[in-house]
Amino acid sequence: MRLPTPTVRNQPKTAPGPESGFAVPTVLFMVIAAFAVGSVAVVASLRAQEGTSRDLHTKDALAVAEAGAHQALVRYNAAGAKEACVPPQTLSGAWCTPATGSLAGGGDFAYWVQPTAGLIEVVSQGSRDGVTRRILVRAHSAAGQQPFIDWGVIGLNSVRLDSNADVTADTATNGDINLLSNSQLCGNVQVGPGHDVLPPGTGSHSCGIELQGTTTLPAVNQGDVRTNNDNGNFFASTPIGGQRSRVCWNGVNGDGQASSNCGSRELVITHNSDITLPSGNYSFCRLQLLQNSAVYIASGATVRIYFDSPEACGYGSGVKQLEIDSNAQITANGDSTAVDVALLFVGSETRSTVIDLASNTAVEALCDQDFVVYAPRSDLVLKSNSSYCGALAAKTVLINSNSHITVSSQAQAFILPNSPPHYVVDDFVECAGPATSPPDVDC
Amino acid sequence: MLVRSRISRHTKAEGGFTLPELLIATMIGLVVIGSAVTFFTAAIRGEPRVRDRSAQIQQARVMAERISRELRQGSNASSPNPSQLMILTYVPRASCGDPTPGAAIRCRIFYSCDTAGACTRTECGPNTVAPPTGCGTSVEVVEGLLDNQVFAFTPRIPGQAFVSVRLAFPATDGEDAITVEDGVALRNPPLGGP
Repeated sequence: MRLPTPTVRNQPKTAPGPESGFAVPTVLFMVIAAFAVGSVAVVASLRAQEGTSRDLHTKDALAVAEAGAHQALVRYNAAGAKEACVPPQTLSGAWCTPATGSLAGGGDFAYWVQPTAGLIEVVSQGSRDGVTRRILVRAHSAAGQQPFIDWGVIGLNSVRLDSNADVTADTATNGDINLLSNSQLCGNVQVGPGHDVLPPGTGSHSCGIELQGTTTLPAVNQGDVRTNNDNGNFFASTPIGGQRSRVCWNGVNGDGQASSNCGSRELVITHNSDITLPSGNYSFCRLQLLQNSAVYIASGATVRIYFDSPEACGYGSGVKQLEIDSNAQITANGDSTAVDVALLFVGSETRSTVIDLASNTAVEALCDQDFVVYAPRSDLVLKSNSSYCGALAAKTVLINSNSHITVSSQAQAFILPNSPPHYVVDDFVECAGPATSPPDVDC
Repeated sequence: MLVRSRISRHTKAEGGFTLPELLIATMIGLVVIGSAVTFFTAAIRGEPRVRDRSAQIQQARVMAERISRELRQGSNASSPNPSQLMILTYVPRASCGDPTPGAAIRCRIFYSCDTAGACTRTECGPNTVAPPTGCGTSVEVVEGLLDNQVFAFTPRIPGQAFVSVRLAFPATDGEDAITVEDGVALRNPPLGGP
């Protein structure tokens, strides 16, 4: 028998022996080492990435939850803040059945509402990318807005102080605040974004901080006051002092005679005469007080005078709807519990209207008597030693020639009449964990 | 016989290493092992640094998140300078300054950062305007910051500020500088007082 001759192909069984030394373990060792070093970097990177993702998702979920709460408030405000569930939600126990929604950019929310007398609670839960956050918003029912709650003097477009003018009030505008010629302003100020208190060094902002922000003033809503008002009080229920012939209302003087001194819904008083107004809502086109004349507010009375738009009154541009000059004054009744007199100007977007207080006039007596001038579409000028106590808002405010303004806390609390009922947010609280029953647990 | 002799010759020819082979193999092995050891040593040496850095960043994240949450729920915030912050806000505590959890109550929180780059948090009663009276223990919430310029206010209506928080860590031992930054607008209307 002849054995087969060994060939190279048959030899490998013997070859691995000498090649299986430290090469394989070394390579394995190196691979493991490289893998370990690489893993540390990868794990660290992943952890950082996870943290960033978690933070982002948390913010997103919170934003979604807030969107839900806003939607709830919008719906309940649109329904007139009537302290009941808004359909299709119905009351189930103390809470309305939940409403759900989603955002176009991603994220789902559900909100629960508990409307009670004068108060609403909204719990909103937002979810985004597996992260859930829950918030509680409490809001109270507000029948009106408080335009002076933050600022006592507001000039939507500008505020200008000149020639020793003196203002002690928190002041806001969307433009610049100009302090000229030894004028002084004491109080926090807010100017529009990119604007400033100007020019430095001429006048002085003696106390308070300076901020930038946006100021808005709701328009005056006079409702049906133009036709449904207390103008009928003239002159039967409005005692006149001084010369009756110098008091003119609606084309008729205090003696009952026709007068060309005043037109429709215009009150003009001159020559040391005065009139006393009882409580009521009055609709004026113009009020002019000259030569030591006065308007007194009856004891305990609350007076609201709406100045109609120049279009409705037949005025052109630039009319002075309120003019107080030469030692004339409006004097309140001394009741310091609420605003006694509110002068509300409807104004116009196309015809300018002016409020002019000049020459030793006074819209004050004691500074705890509270006046409000609210004229978001009119220009206001105080000059020549005039003084004012209360709160005022206008399109532009110019305070000149030794005039001075102080603000009272009662005026700050003034509520703008006829603004629609709505909810104002009091509290925002983040809750722990997802909603259970009741939904505000752990908030 | 012929086969056996051939196999024997083969085995003898491949059965050992020559001296140069051994020397070269040893050199290569030393280089390889040396590299691996260097790698490992660097990794082991760097690990505490990386760990500390991660811990710092995590600490900064937690602080930024906590301040953001407190600011979101805040009604009043003020900052006399960029190293200090005072917030009147909701905290889930049985009472202010007490670590026992409870329903959300209003407390005043003070953050203060020193020039060494450490910040402390002090929880006080809502009427406290200056710690430590009426406050819990001050707790260090972050350390190792580049400076104490942490808080910045964007002007808004008083009490309704937008507050930004900036935690900057310096570059150290070859590590890049890191900054954790966040900002929050207060959601609650301002209450009376500071």
